[in-house]
Amino acid sequence: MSNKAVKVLLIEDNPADTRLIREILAEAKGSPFKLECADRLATGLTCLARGRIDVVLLDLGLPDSQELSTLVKVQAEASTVPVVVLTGLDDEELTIRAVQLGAQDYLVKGQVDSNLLRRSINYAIERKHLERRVVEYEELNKLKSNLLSTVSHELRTPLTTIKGYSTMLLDYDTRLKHDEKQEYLSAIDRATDRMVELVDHLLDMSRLDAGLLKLDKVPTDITALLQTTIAEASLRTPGHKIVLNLSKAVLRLNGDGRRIRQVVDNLIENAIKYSQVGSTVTIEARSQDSELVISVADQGKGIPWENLGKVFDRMFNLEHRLAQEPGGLGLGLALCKALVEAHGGRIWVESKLGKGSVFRFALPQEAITEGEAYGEKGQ
Amino acid sequence: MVKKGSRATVLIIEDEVNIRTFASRVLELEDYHVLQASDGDEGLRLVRGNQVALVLLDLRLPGRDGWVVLSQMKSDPELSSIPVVVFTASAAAQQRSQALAGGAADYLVKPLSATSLRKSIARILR
Repeated sequence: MSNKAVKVLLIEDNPADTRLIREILAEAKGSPFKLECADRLATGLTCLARGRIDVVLLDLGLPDSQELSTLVKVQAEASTVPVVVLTGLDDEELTIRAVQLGAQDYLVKGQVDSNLLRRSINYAIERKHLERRVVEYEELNKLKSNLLSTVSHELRTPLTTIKGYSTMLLDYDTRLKHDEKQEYLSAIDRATDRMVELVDHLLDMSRLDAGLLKLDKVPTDITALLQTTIAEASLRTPGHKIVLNLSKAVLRLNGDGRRIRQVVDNLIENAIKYSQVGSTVTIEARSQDSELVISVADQGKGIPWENLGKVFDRMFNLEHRLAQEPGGLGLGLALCKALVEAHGGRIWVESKLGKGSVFRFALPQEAITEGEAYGEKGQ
Repeated sequence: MVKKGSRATVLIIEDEVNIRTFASRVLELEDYHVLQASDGDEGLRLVRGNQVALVLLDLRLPGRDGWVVLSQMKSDPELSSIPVVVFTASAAAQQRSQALAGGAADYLVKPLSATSLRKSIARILR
């Protein structure tokens, strides 16, 4: 907040009060303020909808809205923007209720000077910021306890397979045929892999949360990385056709090959999980505007548009998966997002219901010094 | 081993294929006749159309939940006498007493060994 102009939106219908606030703000030393004015609530809400307002100075009695409903409407439009209520001498009780409703502060008109206004604005912004942090921590806390119960449930499914089949093999050994035993042993093997994967995802997520996940960035041959990843994915899931399209022979960037591979693996696994056997998963990679863009497209059922913005969200995936189907903590995409962002990149999804989804991520291609060894660290 | 005389039919309602396979194979090896359903609707259909001696019911099912299947069976005079053994991932005491109060004959917690499954069924169908 130090060097940036603080954008103040004043919603006030009395021209004299508006003029006064404008003059007082112009006097303020220190943080420079940039003032926008609206003389009715509707105009103010339009300004807020455009965004980038740091604080609202609000007169509760406007031509098109009165009393506390004015505040409620402002908060409904921009719940994250702090509001300082401007009030006359005679309606202090109303103002106190406004503060209880979430206004950060109130100022009595006619008693406002430059110092007071500046302090009120800065504290309002600071307090709102802290308020938001508290809400975020509460959400994180809720998420963590949800995660815990999901984890214990998700671990129990492979555990039940392992316990069931292994005790069956012990109890009925002589009565089971060789092929049948092999079948149960491989189910135990797969259940163990599933548990390892769950535990790995959890560990990565908690490392990321704690800021402990370090990237090992080296010049990496993305072409070779994609080829290996896809060859192995094809072996694991022979039911799907996995195709690689490259814009040119060799694509390189500075990055952590193991982590980039993890992202691609996750996206391919996701594509396979949500599309039918026999369909095609297409992976493309190209260089574009000093970014390397990798996409994974499936021919699955697609994602409803109202969920498109949420698929990378941990909470959403947890609740969604729990209701829909077992077999995942739903951390995969959240982990992809975190890993891509740790590389300074971005990830997004496009989807058409019934046609399929395309997950894309872009990683910055920093200049790679000549003579450095290219290594595929995808193993 | 417990002697069964004529083969009793056990219906397993469980969505997870490995757990369903495990339970049905153990019960087959114990000489029961086994029917399988992967969701509640299919389970209710099978229990109505067959002479089922016991139902092994997962409480957490897609679509019609195991709890709903249990209460529908217990409130249907034709089905209410069939013992229902529920099994679930939750060891919570509250859930256990809720299931037993709802008419379940036994409450098994996953993970489950072949022995505990066998013993529970044998005790009820003795």
